[in-house]
Amino acid sequence: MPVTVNLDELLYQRRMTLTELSERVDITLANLSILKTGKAKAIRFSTLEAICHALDCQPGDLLGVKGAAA
Amino acid sequence: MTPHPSGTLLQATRVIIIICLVLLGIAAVVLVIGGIVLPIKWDYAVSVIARERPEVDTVGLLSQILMIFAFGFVPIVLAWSILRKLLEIIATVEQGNPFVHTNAIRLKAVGWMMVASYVISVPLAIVAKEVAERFGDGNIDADGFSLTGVLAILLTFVLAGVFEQGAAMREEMEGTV
Repeated sequence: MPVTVNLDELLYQRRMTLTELSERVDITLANLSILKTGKAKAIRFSTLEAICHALDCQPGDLLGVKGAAA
Repeated sequence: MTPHPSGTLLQATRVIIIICLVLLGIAAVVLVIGGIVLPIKWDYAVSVIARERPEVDTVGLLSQILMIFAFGFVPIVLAWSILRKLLEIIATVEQGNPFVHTNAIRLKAVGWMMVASYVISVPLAIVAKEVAERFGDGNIDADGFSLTGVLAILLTFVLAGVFEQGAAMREEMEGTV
């Protein structure tokens, strides 16, 4: 998939587990796991907003496009 | 899984389908037995007809009756297959997962089997009318056209398309977080 999800790295930088993030953003661990492993086909704006708020980051920090200029 | 609002209706439909399957099974067995026994006991049948209805011409009657059995057997098999597929669709609804490609394929198959059943009903009605006329009863509708039948076929194909779209949308939703 050309779109990459940097959730693992962001969680590591913030010393946060996926379970903690799941509790903060009220998204199931299973869904966050799908997102983290790059298996998600789409992401809702509401999910993106909740994660960005919880991790204090911008969508661009969370998502990237492989091969595209930064 | 939360109880489905139309659960009772589905349960009732399932029971009706099972009853229909049993009746179709019986009808199929009767046709097969009739198709085997009638040629063997045809002389006896002719003597009974000659006694009860001497005016009836029995020349070529056996082949016509056997044709009715043959033409009648096909719609029974088709109806059996259609009902089996409906049971499978009901099972997916009860599992809470009806929008799958398999159901679209099942509905398309049901539609084509309805078309086949509709087509075969025309020669069946023609032969049945000929036999009925021999016995002085020609009140059989031989054109085989039924607006309800055509509407049911069209509805089935439209539903198959709806399920196809539904399955595609569901797949898309499943990957959305």
